[in-house]
Amino acid sequence: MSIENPDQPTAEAKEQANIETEDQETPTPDREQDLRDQIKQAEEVDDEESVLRLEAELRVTETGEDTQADVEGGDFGEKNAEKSEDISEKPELVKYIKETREQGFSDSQIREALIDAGHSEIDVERLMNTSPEELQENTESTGEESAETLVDIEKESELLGANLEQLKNNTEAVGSFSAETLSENEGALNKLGEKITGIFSRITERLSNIEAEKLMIPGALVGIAAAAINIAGVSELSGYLQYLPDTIQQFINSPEAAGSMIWSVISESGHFAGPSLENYTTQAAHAQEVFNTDIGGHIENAHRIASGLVNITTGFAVGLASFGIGNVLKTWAQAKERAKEKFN
Amino acid sequence: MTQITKEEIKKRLEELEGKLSPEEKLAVIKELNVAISETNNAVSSFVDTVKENTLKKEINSSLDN
Repeated sequence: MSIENPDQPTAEAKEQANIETEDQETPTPDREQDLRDQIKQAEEVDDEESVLRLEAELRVTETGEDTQADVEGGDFGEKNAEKSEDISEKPELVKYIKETREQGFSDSQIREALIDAGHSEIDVERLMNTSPEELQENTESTGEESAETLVDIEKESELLGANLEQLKNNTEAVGSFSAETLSENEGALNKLGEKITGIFSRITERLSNIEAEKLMIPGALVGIAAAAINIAGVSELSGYLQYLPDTIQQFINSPEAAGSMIWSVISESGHFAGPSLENYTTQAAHAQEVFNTDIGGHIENAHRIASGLVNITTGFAVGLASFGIGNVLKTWAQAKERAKEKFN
Repeated sequence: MTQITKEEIKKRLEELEGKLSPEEKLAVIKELNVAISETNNAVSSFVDTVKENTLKKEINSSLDN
């Protein structure tokens, strides 16, 4: 008995690879059009069986479930026996069986069409033996799940809007305290910093299963990161920065951003500027002039807290916009403009 | 200062819109809600503490006078 070296493809494997390569080069839209033409021709001659088979092939081509080689050539029996898939979880096939049955095709015709389209006999048999009630249930539950998710998104978005509004009020409340008052509450200020650091670490861990790049533009993590860094400092968060995309890590670790007021303004004219020190250094300098140097450090802390909260709002606002709630940006921009006017 | 126009932001957000599945969107919004609620609680607690301390200071000041 000879053992084949997996690194040395056999002649058959090479031939198969060539078939697959050629098939991959066939543009799917062309194949779809070809199948549609064939369906039309079969319909014209009332060849129901061919119509059924071709429709099944078209469905497979559209959903990209199998290669063309599966459909057109080779030993289907062997191939399909090796490739077992849970097609009962594929709503498009569930729907296909339901529709074709309603059109009056027999189960044997449907079965044959599915097998000809490249699905394994085992899977097709499993699916065909599912009762019509279960098929109906599967079709409906798939739709219900999507609808349920959308409803949940809407509810959560509304809640987020309310939370954001409260955050804005809280930001204004912190901003209303004098630097002297804040300096007298340094312990509470530090405690707040620790809590926000904890919140940041938890959300980054929880969301780490979602591809980081997808979260870059929503700015949710950026907002929280910016806020937390303003309050807690980069060193305390170094362990959590690994969850962020490289671009954001660079942004956060840049000299301009470290320990500074970052992420500035989305103006009413729609311009987004960031990161920028310009909008905050003026305020900080102004504060330094007003209060004496003894409490300067506390003033800086107060500004870091206020800036941090504003940065959370920025991040969430950008994130919200990506979920289709763009007017939050405008609301936030207006609120920030008002806050700036108040400051100046 | 580097500025990104509103149109550019909109374009980038539209590109992103198709990248998150509804389930991922829901997960993100839920986590944001948890985080922002916790932040609100922390800040509210801070604001209450500051107000309470300020009030105590004012009362003590009045008593001293």
